[in-house]
Amino acid sequence: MSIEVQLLDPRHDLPPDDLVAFAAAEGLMPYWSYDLLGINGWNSWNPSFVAVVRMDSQIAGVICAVSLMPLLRHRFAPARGGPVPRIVDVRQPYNGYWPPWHFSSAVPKGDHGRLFAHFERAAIRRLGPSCMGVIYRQVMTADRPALSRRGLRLPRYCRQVLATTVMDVEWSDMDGWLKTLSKSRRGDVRRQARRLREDSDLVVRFDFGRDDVDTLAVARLLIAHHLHHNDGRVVYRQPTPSYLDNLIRRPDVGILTYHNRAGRLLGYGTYMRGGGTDAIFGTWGAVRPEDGGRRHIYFDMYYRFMEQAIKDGRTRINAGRGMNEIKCDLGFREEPMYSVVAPRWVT
Amino acid sequence: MSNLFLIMSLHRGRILVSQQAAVSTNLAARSTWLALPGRFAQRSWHRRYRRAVATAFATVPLYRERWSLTTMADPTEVTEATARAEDLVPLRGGPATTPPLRGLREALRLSGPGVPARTTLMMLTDSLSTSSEAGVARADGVESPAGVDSANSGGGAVAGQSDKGADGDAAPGSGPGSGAPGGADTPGGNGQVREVSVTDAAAVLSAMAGRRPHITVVGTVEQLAALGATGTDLGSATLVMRHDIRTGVPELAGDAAFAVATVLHDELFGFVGASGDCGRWHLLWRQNYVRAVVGAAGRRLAFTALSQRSPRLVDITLGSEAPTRLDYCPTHGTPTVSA
Repeated sequence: MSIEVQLLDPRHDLPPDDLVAFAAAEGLMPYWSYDLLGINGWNSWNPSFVAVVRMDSQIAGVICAVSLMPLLRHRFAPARGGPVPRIVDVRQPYNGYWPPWHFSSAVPKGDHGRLFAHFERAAIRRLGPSCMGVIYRQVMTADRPALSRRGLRLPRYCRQVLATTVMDVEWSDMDGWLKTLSKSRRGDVRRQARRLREDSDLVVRFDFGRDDVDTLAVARLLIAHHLHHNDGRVVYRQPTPSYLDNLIRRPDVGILTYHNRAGRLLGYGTYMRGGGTDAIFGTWGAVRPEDGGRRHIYFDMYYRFMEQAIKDGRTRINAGRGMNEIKCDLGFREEPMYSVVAPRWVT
Repeated sequence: MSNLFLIMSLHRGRILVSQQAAVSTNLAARSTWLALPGRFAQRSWHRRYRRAVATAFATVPLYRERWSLTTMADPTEVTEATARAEDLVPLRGGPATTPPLRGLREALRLSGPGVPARTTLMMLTDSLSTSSEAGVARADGVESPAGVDSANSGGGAVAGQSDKGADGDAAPGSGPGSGAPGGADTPGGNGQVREVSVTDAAAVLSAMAGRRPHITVVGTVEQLAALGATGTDLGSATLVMRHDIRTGVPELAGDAAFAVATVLHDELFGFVGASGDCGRWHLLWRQNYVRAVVGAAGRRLAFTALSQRSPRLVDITLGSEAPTRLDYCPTHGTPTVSA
C-alpha cells in the first residue's frame, strides 16, 4: 500500500481533478473551496496549503494547513517561499468549527495515524530546514490517539483549548428546540425575535447564493467587530470583500442581513450547509446599539438559523468557538478540542 | 548636510527634492538650490514607478487584493479608491488621507516666476468660516492672524521660526491651540500655509495690506471672484487659480485675467501640476507618475503618487473627464498632460 502526499499552494497550483471530485462527493464545507483558500492566501502573511493524501492513487484524505510565519515585517507573504522560520500550523482560515482535515470513510480509523505521519514528513520537507514543527489546532477527542503517539516515539505535547459547541437536532419543529431551553431563556428568545420582527425600520433578508450583498459593508462590519474585541489593533484587513463575495455566492452558504430603511447594514450572519447533514452557524457581526444598531440581533439570528436547519433536515449543528456560555444556554453542548504540538524531531 | 546631499544627487544625474532635508534650511537657500535645472530622466521616472508598484503589492491591502485577482492592466477608479481609503494605508500603518496642500509649493514654483519665493500661502476653502483659530485681524492691525508672521518676525522668513512650530504665532487674543484647520502639514512649511474661508481671507488681506510678508492666495475661479467681490484691496497679494484636474484641462490661452498662474489640483492627490509659460500643463513629475492606459473605457491616464507612503496611490484614474494625453514638453522636456 503506497501512500503519497501532494502539497498544493492554492495561489499558484490548479486543483487536480480527483480533488474536485472528492470534495463534491464528500460534501466538504465551503471553507475547503480552493478559490477561497487562494484569495485568503494572497491577502495574508500566512498562506495556506492543501495536502492531498493518496493511498494507492486514490484520495484517502485532505488536510489544510497554514504556513505560519512570524510577523517580522509589515508585508504580505512572499509569492513563493521566503527565508523565514516557519511552522506548519494545521488549521483552516475562518474554520473554527471542525478539524481542518477530512478522511474518506473507506479509510479505517487505525490508519489515520500513518496518514498524518506521512503528511507531517512531506510538509516539513517542503517548508525546508527552517521549519520548526507542526501544530494541530483543533483536534477532537476521536483524533487524539492518532496524533499523540506513544511507544518508541516521544509523546507530543497535547493541551486542551477552547471547546466548540455542537447541537444534535432530535426534533422536527421549533417547539422541540424551545422546550430544551430554560424557561427564562425561552421567553427571552421568543420576545427578542418578536420585537425585531415588529421593527418596521428593519429590512431582513435571508437567502442562499445571494449576489445583492454589499460585501464591502460586511467586511467593514467584521473588521469593526474584531477591532472591538482586540483592543483596536487589526493588522490585516481581512476578510477582504472579494473573499466574502466568493463565499456568499456559493449555493451552500446563506447570509442573513439586517438593513435599515436607509440602506445601512446593521448586522449579518452566515449559515452553511456543511458536509453530509451538518449545518454551521457561521460568522456574524452587528453594529453596536450605541452606534445605531439593534439589540438582540444575535438571538434573532439563531432563531432564524434554527428554523432553516430544521427545514433543511440537518441533524447536527456546529456554532463555533467563543461565547460558549450563551451558546450552551441556547441548547448547544461543548465538544472539547485539543491542540497538539509536534516539534520537528518528534515527527 | 544639504550641500552633501546636493553633491550626491548631482553625481547621480538628477536632483531629488527632499522635504526632510530642506526643512532645516531657510527658505532663501532652498529656493536657490531648486532653481538649478533639474534633469528629467524617463528611465529613472519609470523605475520609481515600478518600485512604487512593487511596494504597493507587498504592503497595501487594496492593491494586493485587486492585483492578485486581476492583472495590473486595470487601474483603480478614483471612486473605489475614495470609498476604500482605509485599505490604501500600508500594513505598517499611517494616515488615511492625503495632506490637502501636498505639492502646493512645488506647483507654484513650477508655474514660473510670478509667485515670489518668500510668501505666505492661503488656500481658499468653501467653508463659511474657519473659526477664531485662524485669527481674524482687527482693523487697527494690532492682532495678527495665527500663522501669519507679523512684521517684527523678519517678514516672510517664516521657515526660520522654529519656536513657532506647527501652530503658528500665538497672537495676543487668539485662543489656545491656534492651528488653522488642516493647513499645517505642508512640505517644508512650518505652518505658514493655511486653508481659510473667503471672509477670513478678506479680513487678513485688509489687515496686512502693504505690510510684509507677501501673501499669495490660491483658490478656484469662483472663490477668487467672491474674494474680489468683498471689496478688499488685492493689489499687494498674488492670486493663483486652482483648477480641478478631474474636470479636464482647458486650453491655456495666454495669462489668466487676474491670476498669475493656474495650478492643477485633485482631491485625492493634492496639487499635481501647473500651467507653464510654454502654454502647456506641466506635471509635478518628481512627486507623481502618470501612464496612459487603454482599456474598455477608452484612453485614460493613471496617476501614481511617488512621494507619498500613506495612503499609497498607485495607478488611479481620475474619471472620464480627466485629461487623457501624456506628452513631453518640447521646450522643457518634462511631462505634460492635455485633454
